[in-house]
Amino acid sequence: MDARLRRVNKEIADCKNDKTSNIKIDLIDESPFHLKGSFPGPEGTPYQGGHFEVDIVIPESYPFQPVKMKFITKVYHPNISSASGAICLDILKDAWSPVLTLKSTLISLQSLLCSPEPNDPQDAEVAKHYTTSKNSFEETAAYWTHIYAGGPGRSSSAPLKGDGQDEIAIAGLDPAHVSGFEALGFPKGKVIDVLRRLNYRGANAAKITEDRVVQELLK
Amino acid sequence: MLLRQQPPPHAIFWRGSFFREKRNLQFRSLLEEGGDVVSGCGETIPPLELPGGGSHYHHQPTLPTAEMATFLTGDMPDDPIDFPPQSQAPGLRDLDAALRCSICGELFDGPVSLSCGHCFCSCCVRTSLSTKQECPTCRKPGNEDHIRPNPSVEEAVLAWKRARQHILHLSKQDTPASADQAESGRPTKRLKRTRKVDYDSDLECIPGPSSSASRSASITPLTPKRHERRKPVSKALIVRTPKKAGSPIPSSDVEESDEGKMTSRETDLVQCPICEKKVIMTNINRHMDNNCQDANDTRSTKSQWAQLMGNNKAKKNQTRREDNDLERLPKASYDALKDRVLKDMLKEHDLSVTGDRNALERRHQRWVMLYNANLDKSHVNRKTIPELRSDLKLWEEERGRRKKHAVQDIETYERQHKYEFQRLIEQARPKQGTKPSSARDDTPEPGSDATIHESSDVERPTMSL
Repeated sequence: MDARLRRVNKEIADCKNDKTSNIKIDLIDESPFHLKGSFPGPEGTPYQGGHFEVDIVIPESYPFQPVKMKFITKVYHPNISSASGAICLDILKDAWSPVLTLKSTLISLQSLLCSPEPNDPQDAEVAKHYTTSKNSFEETAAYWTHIYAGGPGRSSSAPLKGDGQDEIAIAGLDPAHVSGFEALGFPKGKVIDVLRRLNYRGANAAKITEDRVVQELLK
Repeated sequence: MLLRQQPPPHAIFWRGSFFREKRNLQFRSLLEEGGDVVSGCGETIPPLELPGGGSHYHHQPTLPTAEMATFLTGDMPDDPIDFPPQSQAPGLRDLDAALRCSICGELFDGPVSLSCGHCFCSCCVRTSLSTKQECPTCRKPGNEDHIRPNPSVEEAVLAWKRARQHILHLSKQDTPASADQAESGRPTKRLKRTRKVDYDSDLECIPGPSSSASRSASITPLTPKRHERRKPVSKALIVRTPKKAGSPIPSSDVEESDEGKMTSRETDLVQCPICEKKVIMTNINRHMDNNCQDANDTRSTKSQWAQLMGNNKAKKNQTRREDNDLERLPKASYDALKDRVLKDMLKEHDLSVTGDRNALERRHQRWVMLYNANLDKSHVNRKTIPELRSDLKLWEEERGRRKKHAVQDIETYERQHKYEFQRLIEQARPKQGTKPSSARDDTPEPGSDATIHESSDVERPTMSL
């Protein structure tokens, strides 16, 4: 058995044995070098109660090269791409060290959820959302946790009123803003798209003139 | 009650249920398919009913890849979790873990320390330093010049390797027994008691020097009924032992002369009345006849000294000579080397010169690493040069196999990875559907969704906000 396989074996066994960390590693297909890690969202964050899954690919020269990880579960987080699940974390890139393990890396991901780093974003729009109106960001992140990661629903939110409501909440926008521009005759999808891109949220909405929004909508 | 919650013994000593679940799944699917069952797959593992949680695992009935086969059937590498947990055998897991390299997870093979003091296998840390010049643990800058062999750790690992199986065996014996007598207390207690009993029985054979208490103990046959008496007796003995060393001549004891049994004292030490040296009882006469010059003794000390000095000298010379013979190889800057020079360098060590330039470079690089790492071990543990050569060959073959595996035999490869391909195709399909629309919408804006994600997958953008 070569060294890489031996080490991966040990790491999986270690995770299986550790009941306190709540980190799980499973096989995805027939290769021991393609795994799925999962962990609960950290308490006291908008991700609380969610169950997050991570796709793990172990490279040829592991452990001398970092593991490749990306979120399978959709996450609303400045350092995680909301579209692809790609993760921006130094230890997965140049700060990797061969003493890091699958478990310790997954724990690092868990703590990344606790402490977003908006100055080094993976998803620029989410980062903008985070920096301009943190409350609204947290609401959206909790909503994503609810619908994608099986987390608890927001206590304040009314039961879902169909797809439209869904879309607006996913984008983290105010339904009133969306319907306002919709009334001007623009399709809803486009309005959501533009408003999200412009970060038309909370206090930031006041800084953006309606003309600017319409200009964007007409493009 | 606590003990009742333990997993059954086979689960403790057989690596977690995870592997068994997986193996069972694998085994089952192979059976269902009628495919070749890799022997050993089902033999060692008792069939387990699959727990409900196991069903979430998405299992595809494809033949296992070569790696998977090793993964499933190969012996689990030894690991700290071979030992019972902290609650049952305190410190054993920690001890085993402490003697392992944090890079490869194996017991140290040629342990070396960096200037920060962190210890790794020589091979591991050399590979790590070749990618990044820092200590893998504390990230303190370091390079190959900082590598220092750590012979103490090497010795500890060797000793532990010898003891490991034995201790594993002992702990294995201990746990089921303690599970049986669950109400009698913790297993560690039992371990202690076993030792005490052994201690007592030792003392029975070697009769006590002068006390009636010990004598009675030595004569008394040990029956389970007498069990409670043994403890005080052994205590008395333990207390007496230092006293005996201090008391000069035991024969003055009245009780002893009464007993008149001298056979038991043959091995006792007595003080010589002339030179006041301690001499074995049976040798005392000869000792005094020789004018207190124990021939045996003097010869041995002399020879011992000679041996010590001589051996040391010889060893030192040897070490020096060997170290001169085996200078560490310098790293080469391959960019500056011509093919011919590189080949000469390989020939110098009787290595093969086949393959392209890349292969040659990698081979030489690896050779230098293996060779130097080997020198970090103490003399007795070093491999011979031919052994190193075959190691290098093995390494190259493994690399070659990995590469070849991906290229050759396309059909089997396709069959083996059918599921993976399907999954990738499925993943790609919806993306293709959405891409045109999103591209239409987003392309003009530089900060748009699509552009960010695409670029950030390659390199993360630095955003000024």
